[in-house]
Amino acid sequence: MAMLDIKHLSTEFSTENGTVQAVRDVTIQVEKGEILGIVGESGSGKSQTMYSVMGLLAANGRVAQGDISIDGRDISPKNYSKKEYDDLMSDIRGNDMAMIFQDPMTFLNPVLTIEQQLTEPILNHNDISKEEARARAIELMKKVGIPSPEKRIKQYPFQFSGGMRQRIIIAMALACNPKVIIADEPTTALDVTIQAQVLDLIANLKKEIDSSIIMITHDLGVVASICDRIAIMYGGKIVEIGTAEEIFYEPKHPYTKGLLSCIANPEDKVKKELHPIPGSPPDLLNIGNWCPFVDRCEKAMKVCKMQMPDEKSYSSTHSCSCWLAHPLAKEGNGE
Amino acid sequence: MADPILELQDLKVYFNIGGGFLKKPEICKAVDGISLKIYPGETFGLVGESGCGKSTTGRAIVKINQPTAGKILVNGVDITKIKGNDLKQFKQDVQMIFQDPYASLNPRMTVGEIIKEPMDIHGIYKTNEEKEARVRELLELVGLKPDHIRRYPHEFSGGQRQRIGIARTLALNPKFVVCDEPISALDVSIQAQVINLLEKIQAEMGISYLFIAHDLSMVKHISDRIGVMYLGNLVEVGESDDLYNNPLHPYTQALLSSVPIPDPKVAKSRERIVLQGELPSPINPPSGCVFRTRCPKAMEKCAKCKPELKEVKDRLVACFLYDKE
Amino acid sequence: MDMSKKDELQLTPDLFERLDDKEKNAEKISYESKTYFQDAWVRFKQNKLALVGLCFLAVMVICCIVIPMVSPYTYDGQDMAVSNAGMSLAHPMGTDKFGRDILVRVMCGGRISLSVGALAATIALVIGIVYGGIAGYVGGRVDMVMMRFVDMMYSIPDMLYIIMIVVVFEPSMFSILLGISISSWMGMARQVRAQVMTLKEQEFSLAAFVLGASKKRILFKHLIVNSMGPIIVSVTMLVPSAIFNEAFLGFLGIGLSAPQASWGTLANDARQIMMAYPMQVVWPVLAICLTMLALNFIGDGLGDALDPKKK
Repeated sequence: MAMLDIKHLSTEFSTENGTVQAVRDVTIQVEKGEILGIVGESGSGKSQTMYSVMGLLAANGRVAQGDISIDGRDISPKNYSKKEYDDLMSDIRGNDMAMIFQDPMTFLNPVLTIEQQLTEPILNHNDISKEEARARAIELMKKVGIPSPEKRIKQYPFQFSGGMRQRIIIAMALACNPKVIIADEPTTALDVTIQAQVLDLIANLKKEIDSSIIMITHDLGVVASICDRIAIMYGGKIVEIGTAEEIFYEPKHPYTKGLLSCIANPEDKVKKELHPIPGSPPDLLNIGNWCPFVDRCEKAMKVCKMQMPDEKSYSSTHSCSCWLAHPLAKEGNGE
Repeated sequence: MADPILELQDLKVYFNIGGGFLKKPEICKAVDGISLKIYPGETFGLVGESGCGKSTTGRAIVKINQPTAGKILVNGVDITKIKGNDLKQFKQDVQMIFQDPYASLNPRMTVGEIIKEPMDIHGIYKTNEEKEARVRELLELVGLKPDHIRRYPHEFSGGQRQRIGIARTLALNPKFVVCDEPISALDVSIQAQVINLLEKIQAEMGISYLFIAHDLSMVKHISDRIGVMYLGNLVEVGESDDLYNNPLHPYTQALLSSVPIPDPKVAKSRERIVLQGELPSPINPPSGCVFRTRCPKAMEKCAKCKPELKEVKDRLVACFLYDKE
Repeated sequence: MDMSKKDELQLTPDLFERLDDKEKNAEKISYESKTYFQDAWVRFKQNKLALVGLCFLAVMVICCIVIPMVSPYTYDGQDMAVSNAGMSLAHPMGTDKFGRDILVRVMCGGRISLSVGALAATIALVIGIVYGGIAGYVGGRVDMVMMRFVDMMYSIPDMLYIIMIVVVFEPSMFSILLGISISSWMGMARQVRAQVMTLKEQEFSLAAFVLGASKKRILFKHLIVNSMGPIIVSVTMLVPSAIFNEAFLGFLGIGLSAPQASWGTLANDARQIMMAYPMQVVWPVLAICLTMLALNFIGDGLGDALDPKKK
């Protein structure tokens, strides 16, 4: 049984210009102990998918449909009243499910000490004393590699560097041994060398704890280094999903191929021409029930603008939604 | 070798931080003595992490920040103290592309007005018709439709706005453009569009770029030579491929080993050099070599004297490890 | 979006032909062209209170202009036969102790009060923009000196200025305007300075500098233009404050001299016989209160409409 099971999730936002369909019919499972990467650009819906799961949508957003369950426990908003859902999610957040956000500066409360902030989730969800919570917090700080934790636990966020703050946030996420950790662009705001340290930390932690980790990012280099499986999202839909090797070495969807050919790989011996994807990310206000990538796809066909493609499986782990896979398509997928 | 179009000689840019009525301000050594040469038609990449001084250097070149010491020579002329017509000519020759496409265009001006402004300021082209024709030409050059001329910036996407900014920069036919993180705020699929555009413009107009960025992969792709900065100092300068394949300075080695590689087999198998400790503050940089506090190969000498940028084979490196050679 | 219903699309080979580039919308622009102010107007209209305030103000201004022109009575025409009369068809607001029609007097008073309000706010706006703009843009020591001056002036209560100036220059339109403008430009200067200081670090200001724009051009074309939102809101709030100050002067007895009337002097005149004829005080006071309320609603609505972050 999957640790996190999302079926047919659709989320929309009502704005003064109309309804924005941020997430459209997303189905995905995250297994226990795996690191799943969700890659996409602006408007892909990658962050909103996970905010929907966490119950952290903005006031004008709502989950239009979808079944979500964590370790078998149902957390779909449609099955509960608003109050029941809020209570349920308060229990789940920080406990079964934890989130690491992008900007460590704004995530931490500047007027509370690290001790107060680290022990808060521990005390909220466990019936233990303050001293025990403090001891646990120090353990966590050691685990994430913060030097002299006994001294530093009394300090305030401004006394830590960006990389250190992100480690504190990871420690907070680990505080209650969550089943699922959702990391939303956790290293985007960090310098390259610090990013490498934090990614190493996450990769090492995976060996010790058995939480599943969902890594949301736009950086293909980051997912290549630590993710087991990768889902590529575009225009609110998952267009391709597979293991890291399948996505990088056997991409099927034109968007995936496009992404891979427009980034620079410094390991290339010969300077490779960058093939940008023409156009801009889609306008989610005026989106129809056809392939969202059609306006930017070099291989677009008439049918692509008429109906959403079916999902085709290439292996037990690899599937892709594209009309090029249809037998009637003039060119096959692997060219 | 032709004469350099831009030369920095021991450039220092210090800022005063804090300080009040009775308290002396602290000095932040953002750029602490860097020297480099950029040749016509070349792209020089300047990389480093936060606080290294790369953006400050770029801004000093276009005179947004005042240098505290040192010289900035454009075509041999020191521009730090120029005035009047010389200053005007300088502004036509040296331009800048900014990072944030959402903040670098005046939201109350139309696209046409934004691109026309430099022509108005410098009195290029006499009539409005000539100016408008040139604006349309520039819009086409950067890949936008000429009839977008009456639209406002908020109607465009990030990538399109960045292209409008580039069109504005080109209006004066500059010879040297400082690109200050021009793609950092853009989506991945759009970054390549802008990079290709910059390369195309360089091929057509022969412009030299100082390309400041923290995305090492893109910098390596577009640059002919790369300079690596750490805490206000230039630690290594060399040809892009050379530098990447064989970094000499310990910081460059650590930096390059941290770059995420979009290739799972390579990414998971390679050796990473992890730097210990944290970035020191530029207000109180370490004595001697500023990198010594985190350098895995630091020696006693490193604390006492500051290494100079010296030529080692085809490279310039500031490190005592290479002193004997 | 109904996912359960699948369109009955017959998949024929011709559907798998290449899609023409013309049918794609790769570089299209999503929003229609609307300037900042058009956009703000749409948002302003959605605020019911602000709209009501605007309508009331419009009606008031029209009445102040038209009613004295069409009324058979003048502001100073006395008729002792009908002195202190109550409300009637001939005199909708009654008459005062000299038999003058109160409606006409209130409307004439409105002309004065509203013009003082508008003019004082405009003068304060112009001084504030120039002073605050220069201080904010130049910065450094110039800014420090200019702002300390403002601090000193700010520490003296408004009314003290106004009263001093009016008394020194003898009560007249000029002295009242002078007094009120001098007491209200400081707040505007501070606000403009704050806006300019924030905006001058923004990349579009730096871009203008790098392009070679002169300081004057950057200040007016780039910085002030983009500060107009909060500045307009401040101006709208200056007007009720000016009207109130003017009324207060009148109430204190150092406003315009009889028979000229502003709302304040009307209230003052009626004060003595307030117990016997309360409505004579009520009408001018009501005019002041409702106008100030309307202006406050408008200011509030403008603040929300012009705030770019709310988009």
